[in-house]
Amino acid sequence: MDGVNLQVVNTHKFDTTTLVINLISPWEVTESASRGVLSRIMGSANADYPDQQSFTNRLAWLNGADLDTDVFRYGNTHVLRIRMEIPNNKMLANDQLLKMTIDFMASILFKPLVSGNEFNKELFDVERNNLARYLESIKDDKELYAYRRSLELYYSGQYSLAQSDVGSLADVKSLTAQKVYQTYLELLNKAQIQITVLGNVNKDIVKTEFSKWPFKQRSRQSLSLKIFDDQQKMNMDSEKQPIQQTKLSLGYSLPVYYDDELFLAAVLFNQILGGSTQSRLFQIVRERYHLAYYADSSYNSLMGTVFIQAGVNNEQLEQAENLIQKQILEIQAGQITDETLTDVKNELLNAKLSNQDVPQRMAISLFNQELLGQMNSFSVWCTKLKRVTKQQIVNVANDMKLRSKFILLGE
Amino acid sequence: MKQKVYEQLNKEIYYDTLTNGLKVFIIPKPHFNKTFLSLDVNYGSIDNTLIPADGSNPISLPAGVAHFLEHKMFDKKTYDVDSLFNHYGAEVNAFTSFTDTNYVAETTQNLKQVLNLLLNFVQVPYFDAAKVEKEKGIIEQEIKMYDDDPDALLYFKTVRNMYPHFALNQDVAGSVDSIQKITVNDLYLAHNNFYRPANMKLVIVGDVNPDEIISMIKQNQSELDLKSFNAGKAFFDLNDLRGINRLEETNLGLAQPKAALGIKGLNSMGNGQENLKNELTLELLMYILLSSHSTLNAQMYKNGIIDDSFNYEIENEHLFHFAFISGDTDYPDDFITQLKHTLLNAGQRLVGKNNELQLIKREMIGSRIMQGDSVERLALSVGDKFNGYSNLYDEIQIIQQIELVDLIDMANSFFKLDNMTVNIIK
Repeated sequence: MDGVNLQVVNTHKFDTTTLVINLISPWEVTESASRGVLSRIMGSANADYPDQQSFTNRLAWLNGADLDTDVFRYGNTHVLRIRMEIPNNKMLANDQLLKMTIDFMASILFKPLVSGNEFNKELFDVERNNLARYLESIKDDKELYAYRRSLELYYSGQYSLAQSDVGSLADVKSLTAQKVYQTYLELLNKAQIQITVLGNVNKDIVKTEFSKWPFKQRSRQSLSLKIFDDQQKMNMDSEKQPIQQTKLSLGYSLPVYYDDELFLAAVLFNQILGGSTQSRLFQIVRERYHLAYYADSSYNSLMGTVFIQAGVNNEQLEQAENLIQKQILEIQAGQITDETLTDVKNELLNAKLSNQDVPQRMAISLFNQELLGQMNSFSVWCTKLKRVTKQQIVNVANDMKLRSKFILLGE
Repeated sequence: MKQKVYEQLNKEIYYDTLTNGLKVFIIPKPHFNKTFLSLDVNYGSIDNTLIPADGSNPISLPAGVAHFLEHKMFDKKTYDVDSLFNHYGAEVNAFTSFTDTNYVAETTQNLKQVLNLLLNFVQVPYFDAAKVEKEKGIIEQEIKMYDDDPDALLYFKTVRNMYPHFALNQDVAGSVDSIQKITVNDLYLAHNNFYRPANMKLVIVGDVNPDEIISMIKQNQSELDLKSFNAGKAFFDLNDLRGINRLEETNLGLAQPKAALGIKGLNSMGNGQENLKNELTLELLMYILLSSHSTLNAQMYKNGIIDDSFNYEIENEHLFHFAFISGDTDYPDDFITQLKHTLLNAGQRLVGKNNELQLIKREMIGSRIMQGDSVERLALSVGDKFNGYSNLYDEIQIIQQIELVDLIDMANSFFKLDNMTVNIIK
């Protein structure tokens, strides 16, 4: 049906069968915390298995099934994901396992534990408080705190763009069991549904089981994934805390997106800069000059950004910053050896090949391909990778502009 | 080369012992891109006293040599180990435990080069006095980092209290004082005596042809000009395994106290399959009593005596075995009392609980089948001589054979007040 898509990939490679249900909707600041708590409620109890023991016992009965529920932000899109993994039927004396697991997922999705028009109070309280506790503990993760502050500065004035996958602590605290139930109904009835099944399965059986699910008709939504941002201003801030090590977070705009010609060049650029232990930030700033305990960069192809994180000694802050800048300038000036180019392409190829060995990552990768509309085969990807030139990487590097800086000063 | 087939699981493993004593295990994983290699040396932090091959007097090495040696293996004269692995598109890592030093590599390309490099860099020693001195500073930092970690502290203190006279009373990395005493000669002595093929096992998991692999290994081992040095052996006075300190409390000014219960195994776990079966029985027993399925766990969680940090583990090695249970808790005394009460009465409580056991067996088997999709987990599941070099597939088979009476017997023999030690850090 429109807006509900089932993708079944049969493979003999894995002894694990992975089933993922993704509920996809537009990113909305007012809904993020509610969806966050909802995902945790779904992973905890429902009307068919209303308490910890019956819930965990059922998972044990499903031959040690693994269940994970969470929310993820994909640019301007929000995904609530329910993922399960079960051993292959063929290795057990239980050929009903696949069907029973799909039934269990149906309980999660269609049988919420509610009374009236709100989620069961006790269940809601436990999960909401757990999420609140987690968000509070982030303050103790100084590196993450510095990153979040630099993100807020980057999108200064645009609160929605800087929000995390689960919203803010204040949002979580102000939720009610009723609100979360409304969010649940909204998602169930309006979200785009993408179901992926990967493993040694019979496609027809899978299709038959899922077609029994009572999804309501929904209109096909066009989802905007990319975040464009034309602000030119550079924002800075700093804060002092009684900590040992100063945390530096730098936000750069890099307007290259996942569907651009230069996408792979941007990925390789990030690898060279700070994306691995072979990168300049690691080898030079950390290993050679010992100016940082950690120094790395990450590229987001939906936001068009590169963020650099480093943990440095207070007294060496300026030196560290200068050395980081030097790495960027050198790449921009074309200082990339042939060996570096080959090694970094090799690294990326290995990472992709390794991911194909992990059932969980393959299932997510299949989902990403559907969501981003990229159905490239592996050999096409390899050809594109080979064709990336040094000049393209240099061009991408020169498009990078510093837009935010946050320093968490230690003592 | 021999082959063991697991018909129920449709799996197989190939194994061989080379003329130089190196044990090789090959587990094919068709269609997998990555190959995982593990070269494990049966030499760890407890192997501090060495009897040389000529039978002369025992030599005592400072604590922390095995771990120090592991670090220095990566520093060669003419090449950098990390870089060379990376050049082939591989990653390399190593870790030292009480009983073993394990060098692991994973790669999607250049398997032959990576295999040769792994065997060469571990088996051919090179140590430089100046670099050894420099390393002392680095390892000192590592030891201090663990000293700052209350969870690591809790663990090592508990182990020390269970074995106050045995080499387990030292941290794996040694102490700040002991590593100062390590010399270049100590490293060569340890390497020459313990890093012998007969003391090692090589495990390879991936989409490989066993015959091709074994040929590559044989070729490498014959080309490698290994000194035919007669190996020494570690020496243990088994009397040292006796004794236990029952209680220790430390004040570190933590926001929330941490508590741990250590249970020292006194009865032998046996050899070969018997050992594996006993270990799995203990694992099932701990799981049924302490996991989130159990009423004890649910009750303690609900009453705020434990939180998500609650954890337990089992160590089972040739000379010792123990269980370690820990958690952050505002009520350390209640935590300990309730745990002890449950464990000491476990034998009785389990009577009639066959349904629970069958459910948990089902869960554990399913879970292990899925673990087999990780080349790393599969490789690291290969055991040692004392458990017949068992692997994940053997575990799956044996779990099916375990019955309630086995758990009850294990509970009655393992959980004794005399074997228990309490450790609290506030």
